Amino acid sequence: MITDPCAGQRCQAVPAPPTSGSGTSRTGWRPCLRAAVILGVWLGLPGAPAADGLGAESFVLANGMRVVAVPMERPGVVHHAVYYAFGAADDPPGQSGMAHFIEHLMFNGTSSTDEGEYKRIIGRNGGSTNAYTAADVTAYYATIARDRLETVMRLEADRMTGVVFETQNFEAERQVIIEERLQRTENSPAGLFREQLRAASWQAHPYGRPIIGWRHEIEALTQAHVEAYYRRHYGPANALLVVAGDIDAESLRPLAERTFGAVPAGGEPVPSRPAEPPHRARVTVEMDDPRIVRPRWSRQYRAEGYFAGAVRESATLDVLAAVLGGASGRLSRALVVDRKIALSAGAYFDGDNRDGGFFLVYAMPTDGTDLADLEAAVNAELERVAEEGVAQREVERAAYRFAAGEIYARDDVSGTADFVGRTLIKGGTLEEIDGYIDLVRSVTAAEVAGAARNLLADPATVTGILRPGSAE
Amino acid sequence: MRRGQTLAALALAGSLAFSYADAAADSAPIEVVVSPQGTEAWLRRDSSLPIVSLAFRFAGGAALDTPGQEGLAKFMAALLDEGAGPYDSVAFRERLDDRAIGLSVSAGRDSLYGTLHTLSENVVEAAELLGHALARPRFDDEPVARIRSQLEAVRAQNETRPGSVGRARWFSLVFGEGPYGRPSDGTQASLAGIGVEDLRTAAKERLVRARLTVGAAGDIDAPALARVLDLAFGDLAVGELPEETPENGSFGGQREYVPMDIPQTELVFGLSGIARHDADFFPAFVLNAVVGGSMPETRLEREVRGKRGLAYSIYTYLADAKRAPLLIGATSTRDQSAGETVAVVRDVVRRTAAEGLTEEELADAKRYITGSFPLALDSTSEIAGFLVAMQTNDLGIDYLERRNGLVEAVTIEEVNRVAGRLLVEDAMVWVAVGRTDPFP
Repeated sequence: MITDPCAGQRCQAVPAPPTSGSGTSRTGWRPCLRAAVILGVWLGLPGAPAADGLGAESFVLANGMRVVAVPMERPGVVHHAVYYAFGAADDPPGQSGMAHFIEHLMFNGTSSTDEGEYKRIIGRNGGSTNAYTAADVTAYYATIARDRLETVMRLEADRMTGVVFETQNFEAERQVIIEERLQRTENSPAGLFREQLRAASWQAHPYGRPIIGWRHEIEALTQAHVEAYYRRHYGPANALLVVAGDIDAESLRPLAERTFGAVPAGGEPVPSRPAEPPHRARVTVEMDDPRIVRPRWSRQYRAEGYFAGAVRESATLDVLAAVLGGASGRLSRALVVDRKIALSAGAYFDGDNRDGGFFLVYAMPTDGTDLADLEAAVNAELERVAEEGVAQREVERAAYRFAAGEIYARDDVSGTADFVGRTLIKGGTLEEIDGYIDLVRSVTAAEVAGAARNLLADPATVTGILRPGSAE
Repeated sequence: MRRGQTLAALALAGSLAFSYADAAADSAPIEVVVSPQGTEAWLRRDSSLPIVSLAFRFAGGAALDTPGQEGLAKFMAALLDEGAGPYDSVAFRERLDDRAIGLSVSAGRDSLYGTLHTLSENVVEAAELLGHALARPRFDDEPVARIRSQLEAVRAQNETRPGSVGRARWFSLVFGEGPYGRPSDGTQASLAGIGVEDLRTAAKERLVRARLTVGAAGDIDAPALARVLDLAFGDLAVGELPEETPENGSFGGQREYVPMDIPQTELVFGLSGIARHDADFFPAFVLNAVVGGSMPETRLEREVRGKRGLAYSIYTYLADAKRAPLLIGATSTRDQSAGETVAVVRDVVRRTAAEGLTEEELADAKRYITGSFPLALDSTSEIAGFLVAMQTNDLGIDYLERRNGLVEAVTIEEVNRVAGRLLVEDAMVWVAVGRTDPFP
């Protein structure tokens, strides 16, 4: 209730219409958490769910573009997605919102298609399309009937380098983006607070900037800046194509060669990002807002995350989050059900970023509960794990839910494609995807206790407090 | 209501898809399964993954809550997985989590809608837990107090959210003190006053087999589903259908401004809609898709967003509400442009009513609606929900084949006649939530 792990992580070019029924962005069993979208082999314990490996195959085009086919039993349907190896965290200094701005312009016409024609052509072919910008990656995708796949590929290849920049169009899109920022962030105290919390969580690394960009920087972006950035970086060398569904590598290859293969080699790598120094001080971010009805409390602990190299540690933190969080997790039981000091409480691990992330615990107090008492109660649960460890059964439960989540995720073509794309573009491999559940299964109760001890030893946590009150 | 509309959209999309893509040709036929105790479900079997999805609907939702007991349907639904049969709240949640079973029941205005999502290896346990939840909910003191506090927190927070406030005011303007006009989230007083006996009575009266529709999809055969149906629903009373009398909405061009100190103004607008069984439903569906619905770029998007940059999102939908079908839209725009946005939306409505759609727009809409089916029904949970919608709307088990040509058969004359019928600019009811009053 207090912190939506999905919120604020992505910006989409087009809001999902409530009646689309086109199925490109739906919520799954446990949306957003890595647990929900892990796909891989799990040939595990007796009585445990088992799924085969993804069976994905990859190849590289002559111009350097990587291509992955993910065959799935969905006759006649494919999900097509192109990932660029950079996102909002790569926006140049002072130009936050760049990648997101380009995401919007990608729908506005190329040298061979008119404004809006991309969407109209996909629509006439019964497909649906959208895009998103995240910190590490930008993605452009469509779901469409298998026999229309080449149409999407031709259009997507065309706009990789063919976007036309036109002033009136550019300025109208800037206004749309500012409206998007108002809608997602500025109109909502929780949205504004998330942005402040994020900014306070990073000292040097651009993860601290909002994905959509700071308003003043969106307003200051010039068409020349944006066009130059697009011309420099958007090209096959920075792109990955994933097609999932009724497809295999053999039939995808000639299509990819005819479409994306015709794009001239190019795409400079983006400059490396500023690295984050060690944090030495605890930070508390507090905001009061008259539109907040109940206080919300959260605490973040720095954690390197899977793509930052902390592979085993990530699996361990995923298990710890499963033990502490969820409706039957330890935090909810202790704070909500037993002690009745919280309306909700939980934990999650935001560990999918290239340059590290956070382990997060949160709670919303009941009437009359002091925030200090709430904080102490959350700490007590973490300390209990650190000192007494967890039961092997809790680890097994968590692993079971991961494995089930993997199978559920495969019920969904777009979710499967997106997980593969996000993993590979950040440096992961298909083998790692297939092996992740095994890794989770190998986590021991002692390791989970050790992970809790490490969190508690973090000298520089970030605490967030959003509460009712008068605005500044 | 929005769910109903989505499902209606799926049902409609489904009608055309078989002529479009080969996809559906490979799908298993829909089976009618009747359990030994007489519960019927429609099943589409698909064993490509070891998953079973069940969708179920009890007719009658928050609109059945009597004055003073607003919120009862939501309150009751939220407690069904908080302790049932031999399990208290924690034990029940733990059993679900241990087996990774997804169980949810939520209350809309016209129905209680539920889903059960499980690995096929756990389907019996999942069905038993659902059976407990529906027939033997405990309503223990702890979860009742906790859910009451949570619902109150959500209700109070929603009063600060421009979108929630706008929608609530819109329904109140149109339906007054009628069942659709009253707050389905409840009021502070009503939530405080609902007691355990009210919850028990509501569960007993509303969760009955006469009101039940079930769809199933995934890795389960008909005999196994029959057993599951009896475990899940067999202990429910037969009961009777709810009384759902039509409501007369008032569409007289009402406009209301609600002050709120926010930088972006929320606009909610709407008109009387069209019933699923109305002869004009298909033309209306196509019309809405083009004006503000599911098309990749609707008329409203083009005018409000594309040309003028006034909004990030603008949409309309046909709400297939049982007592009063509606056509509802919403957008949000910066404070200073709210007046302009209202004028642009009104202009699109007026021009569409007067001039209708172009032949090209109609053709594009048909192609989109027909082609999007194989994409929309790409998961077991969506298929299960679709099977419920087909039954609820009496579309018939042969709906997919029978309705194949119906959208294709919609003519420009029909669409344009319906545009004149539905899009009555002066009848539009508007609510604005923001810093300044945009209405002249």
